[in-house]
Amino acid sequence: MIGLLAWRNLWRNRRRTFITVASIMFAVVFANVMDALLSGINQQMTDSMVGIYSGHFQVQQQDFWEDKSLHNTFIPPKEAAGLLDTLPEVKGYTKRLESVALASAENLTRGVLVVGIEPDNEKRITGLEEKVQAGSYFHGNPGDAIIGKGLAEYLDIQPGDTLVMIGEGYHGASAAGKYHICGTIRMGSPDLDNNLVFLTLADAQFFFAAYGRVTSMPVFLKDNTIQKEVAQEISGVLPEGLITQPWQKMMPMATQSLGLIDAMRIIVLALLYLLISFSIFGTLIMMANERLLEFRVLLAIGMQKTKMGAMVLLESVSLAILGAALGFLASYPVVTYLNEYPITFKGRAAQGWESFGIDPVMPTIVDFSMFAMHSAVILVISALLSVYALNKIRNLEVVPAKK
Amino acid sequence: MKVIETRNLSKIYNPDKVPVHALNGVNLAIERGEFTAIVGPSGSGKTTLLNIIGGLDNPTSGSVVVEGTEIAKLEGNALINFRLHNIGFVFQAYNLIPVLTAKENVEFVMLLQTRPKGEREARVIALLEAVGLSDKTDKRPSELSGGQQQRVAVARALASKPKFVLADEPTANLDSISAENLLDIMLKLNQEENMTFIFSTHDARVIRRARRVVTLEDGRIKKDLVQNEVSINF
Repeated sequence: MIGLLAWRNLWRNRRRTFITVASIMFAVVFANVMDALLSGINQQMTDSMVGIYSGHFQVQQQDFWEDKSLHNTFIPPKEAAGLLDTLPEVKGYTKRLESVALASAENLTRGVLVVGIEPDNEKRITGLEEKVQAGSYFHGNPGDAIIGKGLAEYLDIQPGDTLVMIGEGYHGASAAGKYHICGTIRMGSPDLDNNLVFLTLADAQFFFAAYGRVTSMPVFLKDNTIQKEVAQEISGVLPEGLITQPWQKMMPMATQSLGLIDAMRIIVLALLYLLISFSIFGTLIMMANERLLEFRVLLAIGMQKTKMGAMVLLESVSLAILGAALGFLASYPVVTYLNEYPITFKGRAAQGWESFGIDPVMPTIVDFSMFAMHSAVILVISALLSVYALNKIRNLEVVPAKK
Repeated sequence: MKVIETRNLSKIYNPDKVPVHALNGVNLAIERGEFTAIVGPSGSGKTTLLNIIGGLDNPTSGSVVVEGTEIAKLEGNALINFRLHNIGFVFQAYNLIPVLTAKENVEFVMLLQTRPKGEREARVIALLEAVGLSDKTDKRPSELSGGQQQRVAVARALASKPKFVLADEPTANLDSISAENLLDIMLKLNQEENMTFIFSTHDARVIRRARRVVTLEDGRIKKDLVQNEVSINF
């Protein structure tokens, strides 16, 4: 009977119920779409920054991050590689040797970052081949190099030309070499594009006389959320002196940017929840006050306050469930559509995103747990706001109902 | 057999500011099966007396005993349950639950009493038939006239099988025909079910048909007359 009463009470003022349900529905739609978009941007930025270059964490010599010299290189431990090969959470891993050198062509010279890579692994894991703008990716020819687009422009060279490099190798050895430019690449970051030279790992180890040695083993995961667990597992098999370095520490600016987006997401959601709260609260105030006489009559004829409270709670929770369900039904197609066909920036906005190495698109995340979370929050808000009506009932005096 | 007994009942409103003595030492005994009218001018204490007898308000002093239970000593759910099982109420403004049909309004108190479905349904049919509304069972209050709503209210008051029914000016909002009909029904139920009715009223038609008339003035019982005396004195 309480359920029946609550249900019919909802429809005794259809317009008010419709307005309340509609406001909850729109707020849920906004909350879901906004959350999906901002979480999508966050994910997109994380994937772009982590997936393209750094990996979710790297195995490094413990002093490498503070002193990026060839003295802090290491021979990749077989135990770690063996474990990484067996972990299903790991999308892949690769090995790199990085150091600096001077690169020249004709009478122009620039300081560059030389990165020795495993071409097949990078192609498979980071999609590096797709960033080649002119010429081709590595095809197994010794002495090939791929250079950043900006560097190519500065040195005025193109695929087919020769690049000469000189520098300091491992343990102070001289490093010098002549390389054939097989392609130019655009990484998105101006810093990288203006200074980057990719060699194969073997060529880089030969150039720096760091045979068998690497500066890092970037590890790429299928899911960002399990980063800590996997890193911890790998740390367990690393020999002394090697550590796992999380991407958050390697890219502090990016971490801050992501934190900013997350903070923005929370503020937007808080505002939406506030909006919903006012809508539900307004309805509850009206519902409670215009029915005080009725509550008194119910009390007079023998209905206990707890049952009346249950009825009011059921009414407000039903409104919230109805609004949240409609909100879910309305937002799901929008979020799914924006996931399939993300908002894409063009022109200067796109360039701005690309300058940070991020694709200029805003895909949404379709995550049912997110929808469920918003619905649960709205239910909790409704239940909490019902305290007003419940308090009215608790303090209800029956006498005025006699007339 | 006494159903209700008030002992030296007093009620003072605003005792700390400007005290208003609504009741001044009212002693009243109501026997089972009585059809009693409480009359008196406005402000004489009729409604206050009914409120206190019905456990809706507390006396400042004195007591109300309903079949051995002193109701002023009951609190919270005990008092609510006492009302549910012992007292039927009929209000001046009907006060039916607007979202329930006539049938559901009558059934409601029995649901609160957790009576079995079969018993509820049989009693609802019987009571609505008794008040002449067996063809309006599925109508909501807004679809019924004032007189019909008040008859549903009477049926609701009786549904819980109370020890007595309190009616506060039950005919005040009704036209003369509806008022006569309602009185006929209440008298019939009084006679057939030996149900005790106590009602406050200004209505001369109601007073004429009461078997006992208690007149209040300034919170005191001024007159307490039985049927034969009523016709002579009113």
